[in-house]
This record gives sequence, structure tokens and C-alpha cells, in this order.
Amino acid sequence: MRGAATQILLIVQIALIGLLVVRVYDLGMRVDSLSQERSARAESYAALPKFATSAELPAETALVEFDMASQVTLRQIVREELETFSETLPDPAANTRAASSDAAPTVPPDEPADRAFKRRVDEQLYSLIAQGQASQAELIALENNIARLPPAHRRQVLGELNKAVNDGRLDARF
Amino acid sequence: MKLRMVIPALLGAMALAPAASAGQTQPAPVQVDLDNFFAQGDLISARDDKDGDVFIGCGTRSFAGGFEFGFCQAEDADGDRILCNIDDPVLIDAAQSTSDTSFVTFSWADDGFGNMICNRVGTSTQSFYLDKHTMGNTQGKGN
Repeated sequence: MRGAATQILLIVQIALIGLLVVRVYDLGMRVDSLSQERSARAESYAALPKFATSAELPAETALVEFDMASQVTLRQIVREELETFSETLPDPAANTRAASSDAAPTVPPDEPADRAFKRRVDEQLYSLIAQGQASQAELIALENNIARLPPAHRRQVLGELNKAVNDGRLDARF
Repeated sequence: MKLRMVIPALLGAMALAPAASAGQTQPAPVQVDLDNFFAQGDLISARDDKDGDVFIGCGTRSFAGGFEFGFCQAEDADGDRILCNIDDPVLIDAAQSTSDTSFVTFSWADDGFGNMICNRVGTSTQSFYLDKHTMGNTQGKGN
């Protein structure tokens, strides 16, 4: 009875060992297959053209990047146009001047560089006002910069200069 | 003895003086009327005024590229002072026509923002604005 049980266990062990061997063999086959597949992919990847810049990327990738750049550019354009629009809104002074002068030139949209330069000229004028008087050399320097401003800004700065002299804040004689 | 000779000589010179000051004279001291928005005066009267602050005149500035602007300015003996800007080409031409012996007159208006804009510029060059220093007219200066 005992011998029969031992034999059955032996048979089961042998069967399990056989099953294990089959399983190991199957895994070996799979590993080989995967290795071959990997090599094949590496070869096909190496055969693809190389792209040096984003401009040479396939169309789908370039389109995504173009959309991003377009959004940034569009936002910048909209921002600048809004600023220009707010500055060119009609005001009573512009109407008065337009009525008094037939030769009023069209005001082009301001470039950022123009605005930066106007700020510099404004600072130059306010600096003279702060010191209370302007020498001939300082006036000449100011006039030369005023001449480089867009027409609308020229009138503004000349107007500020005019007010400062007439208010007595700036002692300057042209 | 010498005194007797000098006195008649002085009297004779005084008698001859009016003959040397021929011609009409009409000095125009600088006047700045801030209530009525005009200023006027001749340049010689302004230059010879006892008050060193008195002046009057017009000028222009021209820059490469076509930009130019003009201005007129004056201060009278009362200390009233004005500077007006010119951007009208016709008035810029008028401002350029001022001479050393001109009478200058100009008017202005506030553009609504405190900027004084010249709206009239006049000049006149007449013999009666010339002073005694240039023509020997002893009546040329009233001040």
C-alpha cells in the first residue's frame, strides 16, 4: 500500500519535471523570438532618415509646433493692436488740432521701439522741467530727439514743453 | 574868457540838433496781453529795454526728413510771458520773415489742453522802428 503511494508520487514528480522542461523550452523560444524582433526594429529604425531641426520633423510634429508658435505670435499681435487702438482713440485735442491744421499727417501704428524712444524723450523733457531751466545745448538735444519722434508724439512733447514754459516750470528760450 | 566862448558854442550845437533827427519815429515796446492773447513789439525796443528780461521774436526749426516747427515768444516789462508753437506752414513762413529791425505781432489760442498754438504771426519792417543808435534819431526811444 505504502509502495503504491510512493510510486504514484514518483510518477507525479516525473510528470511535473517534464512539464517544467517543456515550459523552459517554450520560454527559450519566446526569448529568441523577441530578440529577433528587437533586432529587426533596431535595423528599421536605423534605416529611417535623421532630422537635424524641428523644421525637418514629420508633418504632424511640425504642425503642432507651428500651432504653438502661431498662438504666441497671435497673442503678441493682438496685444500690440489693442495698445495701438487704445492710444489712437479719438480725443478732443486731436479734433482741435485736426481742425486747425489741414496738413495733419496720418499717424502710423506705434512700434514698440517708437514707444520706448518716446519714453526716453519724455524723460529728457521731465528732467529739464525738474531742474527748472534748460540751456541752449539741452534744448537743441531735446529738439533733435523730438524731430525723430512720430508726428503725433512730436506734437505731444512740443505741447508739454510749451505748457512747462508758459506755466513757469521751465525757464527756456528758444 | 574861455567860458564866454564855450557857452555860445553849446547853444549853437543844441540849435542844430533837431535838424539831424529827421523822420518819423514810432518805438513799440514789448507788450504781452495774456487776457486778449496777443503780443507785439519791435526788436530794437526790446533789445534796448532797461529790463533785461524783456524780449520778443519768432523762430523756426527745420530738420532733415522734412520736419519743421516754429514758435513765437515774448516777455514784457511786467513779466508777462508767452510761448506759442507753430505747425501751420503759412505761419512758419511768416515767422521766418522777421528781420533785426522788425516789429513783431502774434496771437495765440489754447488748444484745450494748455498748449498755446500761434494762430497769427505778423512782421513789419519800417523806418520808424529804427532807433537813435542806427539813424541818429534822438526821439527814437521813449523809455
